[in-house]
Amino acid sequence: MRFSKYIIPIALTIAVIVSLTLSVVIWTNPANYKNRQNSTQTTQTQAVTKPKRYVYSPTQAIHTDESGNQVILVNRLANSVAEVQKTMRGYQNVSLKTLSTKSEDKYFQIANRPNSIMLSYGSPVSMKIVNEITNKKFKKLPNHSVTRIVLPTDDSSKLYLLNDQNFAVYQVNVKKHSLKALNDVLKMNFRRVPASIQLLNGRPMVYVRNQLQLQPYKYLIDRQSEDYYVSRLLNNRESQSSTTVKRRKNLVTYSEQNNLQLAFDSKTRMGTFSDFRTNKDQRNVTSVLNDSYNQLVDLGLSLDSVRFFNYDTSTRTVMYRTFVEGFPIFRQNGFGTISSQILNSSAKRLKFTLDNPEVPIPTDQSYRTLPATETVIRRLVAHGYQQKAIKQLQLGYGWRRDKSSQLLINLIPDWYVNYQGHWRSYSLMINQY
Amino acid sequence: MNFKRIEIIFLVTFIAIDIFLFGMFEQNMSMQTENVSQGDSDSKIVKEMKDDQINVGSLSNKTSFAYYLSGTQNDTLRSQMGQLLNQTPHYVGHELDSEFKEPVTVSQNNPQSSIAKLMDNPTFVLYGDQYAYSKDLSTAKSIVFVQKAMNGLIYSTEAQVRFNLNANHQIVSYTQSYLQDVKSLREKSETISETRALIWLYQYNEIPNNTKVVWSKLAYTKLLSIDTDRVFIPTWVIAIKPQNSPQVQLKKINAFTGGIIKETNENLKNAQSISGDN
Repeated sequence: MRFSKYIIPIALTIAVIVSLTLSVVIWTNPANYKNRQNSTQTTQTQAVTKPKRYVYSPTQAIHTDESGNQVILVNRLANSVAEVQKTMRGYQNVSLKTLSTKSEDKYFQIANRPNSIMLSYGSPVSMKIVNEITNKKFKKLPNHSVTRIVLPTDDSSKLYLLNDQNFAVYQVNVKKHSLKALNDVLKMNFRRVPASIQLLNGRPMVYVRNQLQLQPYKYLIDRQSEDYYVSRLLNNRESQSSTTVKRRKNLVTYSEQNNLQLAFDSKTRMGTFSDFRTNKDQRNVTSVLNDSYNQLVDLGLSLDSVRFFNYDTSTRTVMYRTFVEGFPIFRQNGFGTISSQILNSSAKRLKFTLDNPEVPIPTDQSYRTLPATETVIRRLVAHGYQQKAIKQLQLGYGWRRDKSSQLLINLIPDWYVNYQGHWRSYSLMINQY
Repeated sequence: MNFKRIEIIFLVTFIAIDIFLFGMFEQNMSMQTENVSQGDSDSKIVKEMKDDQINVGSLSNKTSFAYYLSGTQNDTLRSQMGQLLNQTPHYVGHELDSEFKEPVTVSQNNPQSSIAKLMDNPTFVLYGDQYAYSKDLSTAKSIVFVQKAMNGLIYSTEAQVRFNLNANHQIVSYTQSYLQDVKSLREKSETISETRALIWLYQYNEIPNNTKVVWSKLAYTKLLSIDTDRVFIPTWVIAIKPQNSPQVQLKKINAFTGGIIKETNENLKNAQSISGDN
C-alpha cells in the first residue's frame, strides 16, 4: 500500500520529462521540416537519387585467404563492395567491444586476419554512417570513427571495425548467421589483384604488390545545362527575389540577395554554389556527411557510380568521385565529381562538374601497365619528391577529352598521389623532371 | 483524494501528449530515410492512372540488375551461310534472307515450340541457340526470335530472326540479323521497377487516356552506333493500345535513368554527333 502511493507521482514525473525531451528534440531539429517540403518536390528525381547507403559505401574490398594472401577484388561484372554489402543487412543482437587502441600489432592482426573480407573507406567515417550500409542494424553502437570493416568468412558471430587514425580495433558481436552468401560472393567473377596492407608514413595503406594492367575506357558524357542547376539551386527557394546575372570572360555568376551565388566556368565546365546563409558550422563527421548528402540530393546531379571518396578535416571538404570498375576518376586539377565544403558558420560551398560520364563505349585501346606501389614510391623519391609528403597512393582513372568529339572522354588508368595534400597524377609528376 | 484524481488526469494527459510527440518524432525520422514516401506516391499515381481509364494490369515493384552491353555488327553470317541446308540464303546489308526449298511444317497451335527445337541445329539457322522466342514481337504470320545477352534479350532489328509462315502452318522463309561478341561494358547496376517505368511514361504524358497497357518487358535496346559497334541499354519496352486505335504502340523508358527514349531519329542524331567532327 505504501509503495502504490508513489506510483502515480513517479509515472507523472516520467511522463512530463519524456514529453519535454521529445519537444526539445523536435523543435531543435528544423532539418526535419525542410525534408518534408522536399519530399513532395523531388518525387520526379527520387528514382535517380541514390540512397545514403549507396553514396557512403566503402570503396574497396580485399580478400585474405586462409594462408594470409591478400587480393583486391576488382569489379568485372559485379561491384565487389556492393555484393559484400548485400550480405550485411541482417545482423541481430549487435554489441560492441573495444579490443585495443593505439596498438599497431593488434590492428594488423585483424587487418591481416586469414579468411576474411575487408571493406575500406578512403577516409574515416562514423558508426552512424556504417549503420546506413548495415540496414540500420548498428544504430545502438557508440559513434566511433571507422575506416575499415573486416568480415570473417569462417566466424559468423563476429566482425571487426578498424580506425586507421588511432589504430583502434573494435569487435562487433552479432547473432550467429549463415555465411553462405558471403562465401558465395568470393566465387563470383572478380579480377584479383595481389595486395598487402603496409604502413606509409605511419598510416596503414593498401599496397599493390606487382605491376598490373588496367584497361582504358571511353565514355559518352552527360552534358548538363547550367539552367538546370539555376532552377534547382536558386529559383525554387521560397523567396521570390530576382536573380541577377553577371558575365565576365568564361565566368557566369548568378546571385540571389547576396545569400546565394552560383557560378559556372565554361572553360573547366565546373559549377560553384556558395551559400552565405548561416549554417550550423558542423565539425563532427556524422553531421558533416549527413548535411553534405542532403546537399547532393538538392543539387540533383545523377549519382550513378558516385561514391564518397574522402573527408578532409582540415579544410572540412567532403569529396565525391565517380568510380569506374571500382577505381575513382581524377580530373585535371585532381577534382572528383562533387565536393562540399563548410568554410565557417556563414559560408558553405558546393563544387560540381557539368560533364559526367554516362554510357561506356567500346574501345580498342590497349591495356596500360602500372607499376607496383613500392616502385611508384621509389621512383617518386628518385625524382626528388619527399617520401614524407606522400600521404596516400590510389589507383584511378585520369579524365582526358577525346579529340574526335566533345561528347566523348577517355579514362586513362594511372596512379594518383596525394602529395602535400593535393591529388596529382603519378605519370605527370614523373614527367615533369 | 481530490489531489490524487488531479494527478491521474495529468498523467493521462501527459501520456497522450507523449504518444502524440513520439508519433511526430517517428514521422520526422522516417522523412529522413529515403524512399519511404515513395511507395505511397507511387500507388497514388497508379490510382490516378486508373482514374484516367488507363488499364495497367498488375505491376511489379521489383527492381533488378542489368548492364550496358556492346555488340559488333559484322559479316559473320555471310561467311557461315554455306552450311545452311534446304534453303537459298541471300546476304544483303548485314541481314541474311533465306527461303526454304521445302517449306518446314510447324505445329499449328504452338509454332514457336517446333521452331525452338529446330534452332539448335546449325544447318537450320546459324547460331540458333543464341536466340529465344519473343511472344510479344511475334504475330500469327511471323514468329520472332530475339538474340539473348547476359541474362536478358535484345530487342533490335539488328539481332533477331523473323520466320514467315504461310497459311498452311509452314515456314517459307526467314530473315536473320546477328551481333557478334556481345559483352558487358561495365559492372551491373540497378534498374528501375516496372511500376516506376510506367509512372514516368505517364508523367511524360506518353500514355493517353482510355489506353490499355498490353505488355511491358525489360529488354536491351540500342542506344547508339559507333562504326560497327552497337551499344545497348536496359530499357522498359512498354506496349500500349489506345482504345480508338487498332495498333499497338511501343514506348521505351531507359531502365537506368528513367528517361524516355524517343524513336530512332534521335538515336541517329546521337550517333552522328559522336562520329562527326563536332
